[in-house]
Amino acid sequence: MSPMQVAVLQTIVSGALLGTLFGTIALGVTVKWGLLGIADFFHVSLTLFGAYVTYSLVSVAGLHPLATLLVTVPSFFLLGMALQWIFVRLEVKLFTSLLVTFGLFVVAESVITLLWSADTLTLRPVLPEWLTAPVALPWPLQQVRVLPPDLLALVAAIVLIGTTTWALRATRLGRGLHAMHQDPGIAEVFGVRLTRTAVLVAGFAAGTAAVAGMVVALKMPLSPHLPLHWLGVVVVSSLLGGLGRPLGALIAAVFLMIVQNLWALFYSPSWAPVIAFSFLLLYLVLQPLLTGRGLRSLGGAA
Amino acid sequence: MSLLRCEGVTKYFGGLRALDGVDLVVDPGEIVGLVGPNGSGKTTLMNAISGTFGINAGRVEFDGTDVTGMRPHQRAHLGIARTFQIPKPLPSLSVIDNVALAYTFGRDQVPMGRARQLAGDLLAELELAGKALAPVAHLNLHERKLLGIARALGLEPRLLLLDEVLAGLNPTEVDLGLAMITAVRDRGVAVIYIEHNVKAVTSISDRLYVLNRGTNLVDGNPRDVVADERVVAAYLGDAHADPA
Repeated sequence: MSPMQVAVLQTIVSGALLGTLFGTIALGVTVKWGLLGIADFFHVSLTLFGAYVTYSLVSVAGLHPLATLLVTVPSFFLLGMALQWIFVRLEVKLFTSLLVTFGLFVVAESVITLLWSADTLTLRPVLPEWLTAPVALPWPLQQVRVLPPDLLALVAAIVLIGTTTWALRATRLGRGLHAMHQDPGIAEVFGVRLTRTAVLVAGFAAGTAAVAGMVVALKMPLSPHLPLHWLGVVVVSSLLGGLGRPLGALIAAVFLMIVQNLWALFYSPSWAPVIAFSFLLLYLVLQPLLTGRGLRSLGGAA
Repeated sequence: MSLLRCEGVTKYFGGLRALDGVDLVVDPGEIVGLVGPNGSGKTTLMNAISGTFGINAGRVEFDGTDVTGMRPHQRAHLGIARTFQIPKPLPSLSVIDNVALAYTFGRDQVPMGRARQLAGDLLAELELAGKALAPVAHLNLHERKLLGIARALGLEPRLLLLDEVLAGLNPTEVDLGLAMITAVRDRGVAVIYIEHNVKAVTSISDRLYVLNRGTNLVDGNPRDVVADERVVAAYLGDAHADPA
């Protein structure tokens, strides 16, 4: 293989793996937006918060990175449930949720700065070698190197998105959620507990943010403004993938990150974020023409 | 002991008094017809019983339990099921899954696989088995109404509220529908049956309640009730009630 071919392959693989991380972050956003009617920008902040908590648990408390999940997932689950309970109580609707969670998004950056300072923090020095040394992929991609946290991102995405997709189809909670999304009044008359369903789903979404946060902490240096950079990709993937469809969001995120990385390889990297939004614009312009549904779909998956 | 007891049920919509102290009693295993002119509060009373909204005054008691402050899902779990004037199946689910949903979340919280079996059996009984796997969009009005009843029965209720399930159907379908409602009663399910078609409701009801402007007008034996001059006046105006 020529060096250029290797570079392109490497770019595609790294982009795809980064995409799986964004797909995992988008999981919570797309489920809550599409099925609970909560456009949760704060979910992205929660992911970074999870990363910082992981950082502290590993570097200060000396926990094994994977063991931090035993602490972060349950506590985030409770946090997500509490927040949704308040949303239910306040009867937060799609539009108000956008305002409220954007407010929380802004506040979260300040709180994280306050707690952990604005300096860049990295776990890299304290991580064991098996989490930091690049690994060669098997034949025929033996010239491509990936970092273990990227593989962890892939595993997390497969496990979480696989579980969610299955649960939405095959479990009581998933059935109840679909029924509630289509017609809350009917769902309740047929025995679905609306508040409980919404609160459990939100708790689950927050739990996935904790997992994504762990991957983030292992993968990249942390700084409080990261969510601002992620928000575009996460929201665009959720929309492109079809709200309420985690697998769609994952595919969209992987696709977007491959395209962005390739763009950055050949052109100015500073323009790469434009790509995601160009796709979103194209999608928004073309989707009503293609499906004849207009922009109503922004209100949730059909 | 009576199954359902409504006492002084009152509901305001803003300044409009939709229900003003309505009383209603249903005994186990009887069909109670509920009739009245448009706007007399029949559907509002049904919503008050199923818990779709809270009431401003009065009390709803089901099987000795005060359910006045309960949410719809709690009432569903106690055994109150209803249909809607406009059938509202969930469009993303097939016919059978719409029914299975009620079994899954209803009184017995049946596991999903078993719920599907039970739903299949129920659809066969209602002669809808042929459409079990079809999307609900493929059903005609009659079939949608049947689905609405099947879904309500999927809750395995002790009280079934039927809101104009026969409206818009042809005479043959109406006869089939009436036979089915009687069959439901014979299974031991009490039925409150709202209907515009007074002849239909009189033919199968054990007792009849007439509402007018949100209040009880007359109740009792169906034949006596429809002959009551106050009922005729409410429907047709005072002039027609005057024996002269």
